[in-house]
Amino acid sequence: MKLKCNAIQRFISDYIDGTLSTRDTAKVEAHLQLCSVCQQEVNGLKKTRDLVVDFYVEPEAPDNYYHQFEVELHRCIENKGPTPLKQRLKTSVLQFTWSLLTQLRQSFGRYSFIRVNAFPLGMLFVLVVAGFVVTHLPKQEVSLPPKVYLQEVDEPTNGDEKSELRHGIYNDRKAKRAALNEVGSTTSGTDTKKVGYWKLTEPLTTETEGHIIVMHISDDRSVPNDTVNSELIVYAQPDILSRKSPLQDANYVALPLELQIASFSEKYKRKHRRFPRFVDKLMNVPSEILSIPAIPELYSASNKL
Amino acid sequence: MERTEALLIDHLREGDETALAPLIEKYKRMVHRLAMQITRNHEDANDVMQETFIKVYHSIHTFRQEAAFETWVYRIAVNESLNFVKRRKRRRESPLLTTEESEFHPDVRQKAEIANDPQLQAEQAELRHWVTKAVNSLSLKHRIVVILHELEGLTHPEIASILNCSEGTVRSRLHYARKQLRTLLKPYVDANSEF
Repeated sequence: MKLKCNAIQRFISDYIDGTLSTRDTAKVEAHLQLCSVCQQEVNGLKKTRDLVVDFYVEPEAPDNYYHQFEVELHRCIENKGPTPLKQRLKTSVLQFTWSLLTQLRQSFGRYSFIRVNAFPLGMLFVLVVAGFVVTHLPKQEVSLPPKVYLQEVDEPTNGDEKSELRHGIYNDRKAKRAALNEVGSTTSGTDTKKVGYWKLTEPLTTETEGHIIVMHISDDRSVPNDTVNSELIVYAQPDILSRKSPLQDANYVALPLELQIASFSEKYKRKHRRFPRFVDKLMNVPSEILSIPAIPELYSASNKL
Repeated sequence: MERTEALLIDHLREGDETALAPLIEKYKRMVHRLAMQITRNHEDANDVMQETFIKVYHSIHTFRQEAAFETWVYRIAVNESLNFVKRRKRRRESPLLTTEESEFHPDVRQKAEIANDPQLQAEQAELRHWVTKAVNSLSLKHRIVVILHELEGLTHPEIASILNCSEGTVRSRLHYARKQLRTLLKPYVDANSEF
């Protein structure tokens, strides 16, 4: 098979040095007979090599320099004295390790199957060890996501937008409209009622991303009576922190805890198709996260009322 | 490995310090040459030589008989030289014998002048000057490969073992260095005159 000019490039140096195999040499020579450009290239590089070999001036030092050097070297070695024990030990350990590795390598070489499949076997071994370690290590307790509580604030401040929460979606349309009206009136400044604005007691952190956040809203008069059971679950969307106003309607959904999760989810899925992932997530929420100690008490308290 | 050299190495291993002298005698020029070519600094080359032979003396136990003693000494000398170059770079010191690439201008006019010179000796002296400058202007990694291969006559596997890299890397570095040298020495390479 004839070689092309760019394929010949990688053979040129070896061809010049005469270290190319007979077969490759024949290929290169066949190409060079046909290609004057490559012929020129080979001649140029050959001449360059000859120039370097013949005319490069190697640094030489006078004999007295070497004599002086030897004297200095012996003095240096004598001054250092015998090799310290620590270094001798280190050398012995290194020597032993090296001989062990060499022996291993040699014995390894006898088994061609192992040698050929060294990488996959090694990976398999690593996986087995990793699996063993993972399954046998004592499991650490999974820390629950931090609860983020809300605190009612008098008036919203422009500079603190990120930590403010406007009430979002309720299952009761009327209540929602009422709440939104109240919110609107508060923002316009005509109504000074403390409704509609809530401040997070703790700032959202990356740990709260994508988690269920439980918020206390027991004193919220804007929440309709049928959802008075004081707690909302807010699911923080994963990108909630990257937005300018993180806790707006579009970014979270508020869910009254009193509702049956499953039925709500079905209903919610039908109503809010834009949050299917939330619903799926909600269905898979571990029970520990939902069973907040304060809820039964609040539930019973609200029933008594 | 020569028998005498093997014996000397055995004696040195046993702690016989006198066995070091013949080995130094044999390799001192090679180590000095290599150190000078890499460090391009007389003081550093001297230090490299000293460090190399001290290391040979102290680490002779780690020398494996399966490798050539010469290659082992080369490796130590190259590594020591590279350490000195690195240290000097860290200190931001310049080598004594600097040969910047920008200094290198063997243009056609100069070549013509050389060709007109009737004295072959003078021509050769000039050529030696430019060739040496061209090699010294190569980057360190390419220069080392050229020195070890073209000047010291080591094979690709030996160089790969000394520099702790693959043979392919040695080959490609050598090819690149040769191409660069050809560019630098273009007037001489293109000339038909025989030197």
